[in-house]
Amino acid sequence: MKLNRVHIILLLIFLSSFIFQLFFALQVPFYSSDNAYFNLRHSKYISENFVPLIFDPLSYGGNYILDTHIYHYFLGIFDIIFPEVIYKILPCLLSSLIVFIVFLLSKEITPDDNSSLFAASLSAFIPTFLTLTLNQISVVSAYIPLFFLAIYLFLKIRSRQSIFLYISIFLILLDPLNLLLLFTFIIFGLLMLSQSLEIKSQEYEALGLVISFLLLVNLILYKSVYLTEGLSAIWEDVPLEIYGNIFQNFNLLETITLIGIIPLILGIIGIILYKKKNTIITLLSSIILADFTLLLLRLIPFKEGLIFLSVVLCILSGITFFNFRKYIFITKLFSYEKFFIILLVLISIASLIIPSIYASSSVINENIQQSEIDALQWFKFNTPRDSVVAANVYEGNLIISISDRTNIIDNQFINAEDRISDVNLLFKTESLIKAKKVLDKYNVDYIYFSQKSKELYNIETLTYTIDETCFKEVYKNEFATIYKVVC
Amino acid sequence: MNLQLFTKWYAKYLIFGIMLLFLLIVPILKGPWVGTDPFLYHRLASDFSFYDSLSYGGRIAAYSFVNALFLIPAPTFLITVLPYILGIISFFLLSKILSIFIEDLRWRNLSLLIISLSPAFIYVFSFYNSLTLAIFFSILGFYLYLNKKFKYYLLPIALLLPFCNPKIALCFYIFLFLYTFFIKKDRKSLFIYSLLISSISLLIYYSLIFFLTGSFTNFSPPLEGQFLFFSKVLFDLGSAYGLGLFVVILSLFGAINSWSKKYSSPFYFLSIGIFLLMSFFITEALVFLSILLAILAALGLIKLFDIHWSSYQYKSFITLILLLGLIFSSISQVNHLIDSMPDKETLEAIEYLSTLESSVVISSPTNGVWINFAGHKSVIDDNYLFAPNPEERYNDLNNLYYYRDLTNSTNILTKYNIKYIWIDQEMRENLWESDTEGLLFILQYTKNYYTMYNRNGIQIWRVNRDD
Repeated sequence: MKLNRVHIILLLIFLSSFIFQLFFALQVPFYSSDNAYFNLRHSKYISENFVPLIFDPLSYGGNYILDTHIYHYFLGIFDIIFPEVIYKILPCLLSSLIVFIVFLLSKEITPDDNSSLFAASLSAFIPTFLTLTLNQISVVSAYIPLFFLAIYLFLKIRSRQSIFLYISIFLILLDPLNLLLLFTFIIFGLLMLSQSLEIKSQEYEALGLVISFLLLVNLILYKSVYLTEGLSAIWEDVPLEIYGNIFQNFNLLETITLIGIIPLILGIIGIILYKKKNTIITLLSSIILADFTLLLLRLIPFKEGLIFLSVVLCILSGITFFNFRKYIFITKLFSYEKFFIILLVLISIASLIIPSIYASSSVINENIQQSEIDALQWFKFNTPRDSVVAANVYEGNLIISISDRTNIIDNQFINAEDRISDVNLLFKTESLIKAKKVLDKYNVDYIYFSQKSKELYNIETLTYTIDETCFKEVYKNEFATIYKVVC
Repeated sequence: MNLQLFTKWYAKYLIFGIMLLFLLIVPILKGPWVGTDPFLYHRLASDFSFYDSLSYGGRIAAYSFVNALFLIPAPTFLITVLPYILGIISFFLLSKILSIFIEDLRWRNLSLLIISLSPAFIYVFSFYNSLTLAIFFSILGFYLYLNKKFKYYLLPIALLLPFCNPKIALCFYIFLFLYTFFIKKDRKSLFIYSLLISSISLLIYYSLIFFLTGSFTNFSPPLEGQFLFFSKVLFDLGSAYGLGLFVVILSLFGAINSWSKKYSSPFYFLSIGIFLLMSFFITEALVFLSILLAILAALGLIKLFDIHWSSYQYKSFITLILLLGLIFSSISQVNHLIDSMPDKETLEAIEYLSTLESSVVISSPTNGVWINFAGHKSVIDDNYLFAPNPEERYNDLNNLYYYRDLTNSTNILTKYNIKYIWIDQEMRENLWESDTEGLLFILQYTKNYYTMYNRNGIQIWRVNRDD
């Protein structure tokens, strides 16, 4: 294939997105979320042992981890070839691939290469996508491009049946609790029927495949959770206390801020301007409807849901761009066409790049800090190997991965004992007796009291730790204080 | 995969073999003691009487007594082999019934296979429970009803069925009514006779019980948790013997394909609709629904094979997924029954309890039947129908469990003459948040109680009353 102007621009967009992410990711030697360390720990385990860590002895003092480990295997294989550096580079590479897929999908709607390039350039800098994936070894980095690739392959099902089969299987195994693909295809089927559009036999087969395989995988993996929790297993057994933080209520104003006003306006205009009724627009509408449904039913984490919405809006922005060009062409401003086009591109990209820079800096500088890593590493070199450390729920994976010590809680809630109220009590109470009861219950040796716990529980100190007969301050830096339980 | 296999002469034997295999796993790996029903019927059969001296400290045995009656000749032996034998006979009867309605051998065999693999069939015939005899009689009764020569043999079954399980009897008569109304109108008189026999016998029985007990009670304790429709109907979402998810998917496919024939077979579609609606109120209706949907699911599977596929790869893969889904529900049911209570530890505790001198033991209502089986009186168990003051007992025990008040607890213990207290892990998780709450505090920190048994999370405390 010969590289033409479009290919080169597309490659440049991809590289700019990749370099942008890499620039931020390489600024710090560590990773920027608690979940990153969960994925890191499991991938490392696979690269060393070639089998997944099914029973994690450090999580909750021993917890069965319910995960397909597909993503961990994927990372683990690369870890064998390029250790360490791969966790920084590969997620950036995967998430940057979205530009190619957005380009291809946009090309299906508009015949114009420039419009598709415009859509691709918007997708290169989606703030919510960066917030959730940058330097976080997140499965979302792989899931989003794969999801839209599956959508593209579905459109090309006649010639791409086998690839669609493999990608769908991989996608479902990657995150079986993600119901978006299922909802998208169900809504797609209903919309096609309601619009009297023909569903091809290959499309029927593809729908059947996705629905049946997703159900089977869910039943096999989460059978025990479905038996005890019923349909609420879809919420990953998240305790009620922190459910609201993950599955937020849909908020229009927050949504606009996170998606970005320009892609939102251009996307909405795009869908209004597109008059044709065909498979591609029905499919994209299905993604939006499915995403909204899941967000309203709180069946998908809020920010994750917004990423899907943002990508679809980027694709639809291509329609607006195409129509804008066509409109300029028939007006007296025709001679200024290039000026207006460049202006639109600059405004659109600037409206995304500025929040993206802000979001990326925030992820890199605020999510995890060096002083936090120092405090966590202190455990590793200064405490007995079998020590149990109490920290808040969002620091559990950091404790087991960086400190290599047992935690009392982390975000692997499925199969785990419900301990969130005890942990909340430990950080909120002023009573030594109540705190001691929790500490004894889980045989806690150390309390990790961080800045994050202060913000999470809105406290300044752990009042009961003033009792020096029971607690000894063994480490302190600007981010965290570590107390040893001595009574 | 080639469906030609199912038209081979050995297809039926292969299905029979699969059914035998699935029904054998639970008895071999777990034994006959699954849940509470086998314990209740074994105890009643060992000493058959219409007065139960152990449950609720002594009560009229207002149970489905026919289930116990059939075990009397050899309770321990029959409780092990009877479900299995009834399962095999039911399989052959279903095969005969299907051959009357379905001409296509492939459809018939697949229906039989899906019925055999259904969680409901495995549940009913893997251990002796309140459904085993009732479902067997329902299948036998319907077979006899269809049979011109033996149709009047239905009448003795009509007499027995309500005493095996009144809810199953209700489902059976609804099914029979629909069949009579839509298909066999000439059996109207037989239907009315059998219905009359069942109704009158049941009426006499319960009038007698009402006369003896003096009141009708059917207390039900407040239940916690979500009770969504899907969780009640679908086995894979928590129902004890509900529909397999993949059977539902296949039957939907079958229904779509046979929707044009809905007016030619109103009996079938109406039965499914009625039983689906009923299953929300009467869980037992799910067994009937499972059998009916299996036929539709088999049709769906056949249609899936017969339609034109654009890709052989997709056809193979989707078929494999659906078959795996069907088998997965069966394996899950078997697994669920093997893991169900009582576990080895509880059986050991029951055995220990049986060595103690007969007295009154308190525990959660679900443990009541096991306490009775060990030869002790229970204050409460989950057979609430016609039980003496179940609500008062339930509230008294809750007061005992939750309050630390020593006078209150002593009064309750004296009121029911309680000598032993059985506390297991499930009670600890459901009733208390810590070891120093309510009764647990009293047991630990007062001198009148001491642990007689403390193994594997089960504690049996002895009460030493000053009086």
